[in-house]
Amino acid sequence: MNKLGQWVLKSCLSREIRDAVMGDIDEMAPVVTREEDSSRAKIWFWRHLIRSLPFLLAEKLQRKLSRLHGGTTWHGQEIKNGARPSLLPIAGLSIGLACCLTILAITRDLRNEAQFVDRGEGKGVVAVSGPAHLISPIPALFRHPLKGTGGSQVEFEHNMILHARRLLAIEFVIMLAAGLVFVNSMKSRSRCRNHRSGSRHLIIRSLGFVAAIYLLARLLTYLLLPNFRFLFEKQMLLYWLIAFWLLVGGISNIVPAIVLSVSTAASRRPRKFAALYLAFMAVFIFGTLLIVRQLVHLKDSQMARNGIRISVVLPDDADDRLESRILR
Amino acid sequence: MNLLSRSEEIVLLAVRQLQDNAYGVTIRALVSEATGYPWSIGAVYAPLYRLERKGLARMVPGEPTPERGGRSKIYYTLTPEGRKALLRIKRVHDVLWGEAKPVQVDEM
Repeated sequence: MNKLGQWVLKSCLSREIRDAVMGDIDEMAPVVTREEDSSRAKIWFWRHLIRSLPFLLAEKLQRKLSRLHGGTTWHGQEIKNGARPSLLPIAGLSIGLACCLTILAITRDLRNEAQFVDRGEGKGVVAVSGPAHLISPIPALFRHPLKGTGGSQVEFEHNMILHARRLLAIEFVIMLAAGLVFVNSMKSRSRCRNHRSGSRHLIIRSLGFVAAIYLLARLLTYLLLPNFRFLFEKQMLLYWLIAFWLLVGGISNIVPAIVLSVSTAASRRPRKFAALYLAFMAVFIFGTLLIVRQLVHLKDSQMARNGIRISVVLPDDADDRLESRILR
Repeated sequence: MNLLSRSEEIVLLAVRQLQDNAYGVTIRALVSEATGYPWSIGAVYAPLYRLERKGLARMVPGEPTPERGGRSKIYYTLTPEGRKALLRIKRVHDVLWGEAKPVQVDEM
């Protein structure tokens, strides 16, 4: 078996049967090579490989799907038996699905927002007015720089803060869902030593998965939602701290859940570990609520005290038509 | 009642016949000989996986051998459910073949 063939086979085979299938081909190859000359043996190998590929790919796909489905049904059985951690992955999957729908909805909403800004033809600036030293980092969420600088002001109601709040909420849900699906993956019943529940390999891989989901969410925000590129500016430190809190919170939410689900010590003392997990969850939820409350409070008080207004600043030479188009 | 597909039935029968020596190469050789058509190794493993998922066959990891490049075999054995499924499919065949007229070659 040449290297290319080996690579094709390896990538098409599920890990459960990878060794066995490659061993089978190794075992069959000498018989064919003895009977045929080497070039015909190569042809035999590639013909065999090509004929096998659809079946092997289908098998790999079925195995992956059934792993997901099997995980869910297994936890369903656990619920029937009154086991506690089963609710986590199921809730995670549900939240994940709900999250997808919400992301679709908000993306649609933000596309409308982008169209609205486009109507300004890049000639205006959406600005926050009020004494600069009183403006907290939160109203920075409002700032949306466009090309050019202003002149006359046309005020309009801006709903960016709503989007920002929703964005935070979505990221929170993404993290939670990723964490819970990760817990689901931790319950793998694979025979492979590296994929056994609680193995270091699986923990590192799954933590990487959670981090990757988070980074992907950030990257998608950056690429698909140009209105939110300001999130990557320096004044968004607070926002990043919140994101970091969510990340840490997501992981701290996961760790006790893993301990609870896979550890034998946990099965011996389920109450103790359930209490530990609930304590983590409580701290995480309380902290998050505290932050959200502070954000909302800060925003409201600043808006009320300083009369911060969201404005579109248009150049002096902007004609009425542009103004009416923006306000439309 | 979930009946077996044709490929599942053939592979399951091969596993039954090979008993303790049922793994990819031997199953492929037997089904190729029986059907007169060279099965690919992938065509053997796909039904084997479905049988395993349905609980009709069980995977048993074997020892690595030098002629396989140090890779281990996976042996397959019938489960009690697998035996029941074979009996069920045999009963279906018996009933249908028993009440039908003998098939003549000129009917084709």
